[in-house]
Amino acid sequence: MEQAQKRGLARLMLRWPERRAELRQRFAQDPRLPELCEAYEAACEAAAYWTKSSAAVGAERAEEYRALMTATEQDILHRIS
Amino acid sequence: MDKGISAFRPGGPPAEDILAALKAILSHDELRLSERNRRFLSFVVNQTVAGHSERIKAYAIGVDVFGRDEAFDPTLDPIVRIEATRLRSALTAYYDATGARDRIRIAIPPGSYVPTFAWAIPLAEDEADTPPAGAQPARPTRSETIIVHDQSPRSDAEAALRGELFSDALVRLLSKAQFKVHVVPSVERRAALDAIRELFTHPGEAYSLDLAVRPMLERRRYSWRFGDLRNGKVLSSDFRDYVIATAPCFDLIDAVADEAAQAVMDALPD
Repeated sequence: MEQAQKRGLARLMLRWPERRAELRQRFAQDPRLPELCEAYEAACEAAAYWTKSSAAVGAERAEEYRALMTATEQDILHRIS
Repeated sequence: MDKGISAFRPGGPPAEDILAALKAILSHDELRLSERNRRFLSFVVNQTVAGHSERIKAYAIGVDVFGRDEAFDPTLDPIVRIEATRLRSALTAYYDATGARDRIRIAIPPGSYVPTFAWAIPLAEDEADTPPAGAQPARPTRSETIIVHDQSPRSDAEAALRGELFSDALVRLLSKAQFKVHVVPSVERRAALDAIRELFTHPGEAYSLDLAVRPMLERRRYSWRFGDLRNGKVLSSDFRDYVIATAPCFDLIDAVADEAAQAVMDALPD
């Protein structure tokens, strides 16, 4: 799980390069932030999985997870602001 | 309904107070939760209060709250895990700000979807100049002494660290509740150790609070035992098991300490 947290953090640092130092610092201090990074990573991976899926609900699920990525980003921005 | 919550945590807030707290928190715009996650919170709280916490699994939440069908597979469709994390974060943010004075705290510890309920520890006087409506009046200094003894195995560094954090949180809570608190020191601190031994020999109004964090494979057992030193009677004893998480778990340890402190206060006469 720690790896998923770090992957989520890395993804966010790529997304918001201007906030890298802030993200790194808060990741080490706020126990909720690594959890949110892991949730973000899980949402990204699920969005990618369902985008490729041939299941009938694949497109709907992919859209749901993309929305969840955005919502989790907002949670993280709110947490570090 | 009381039967369910009593089975969940003896000495905790009563069912009707928990449901009132749920209603109040859900009415706040400051709680950053979607309608769906508000239903998620309601579902887990209501199931727990009704005594059905064993039904709170990812599958049941996926089907009952998130509208998934019977083919729902939480490993491919991690909606419940993700939303639970967002819910925990929203609750933390709420209790750090708007809900700082709420009497009851609802939490969902990491590694579980089953909520815990605890009375909030009153804020320090300099943080709370006016008591909130309905709040309990501050307790006068208590006459009882509590000797805290951390018995976590020193051979396991990680369990020892968790034990220290558990002990620190408990000492803080008991001190705030106006008890006289002593911690059994290491053998090197001979003078303090001798003073504690004297209390064991002539306990007066002294009580023991033995705590430990013990490892067993991927699980950690947080246990506490509160006893009367005058007669050896155990007044309260309980434990909580958690799957080890690689993420920082300060909130979880604080929540267990909060339950233990509440159990200690419930075990003593007012």
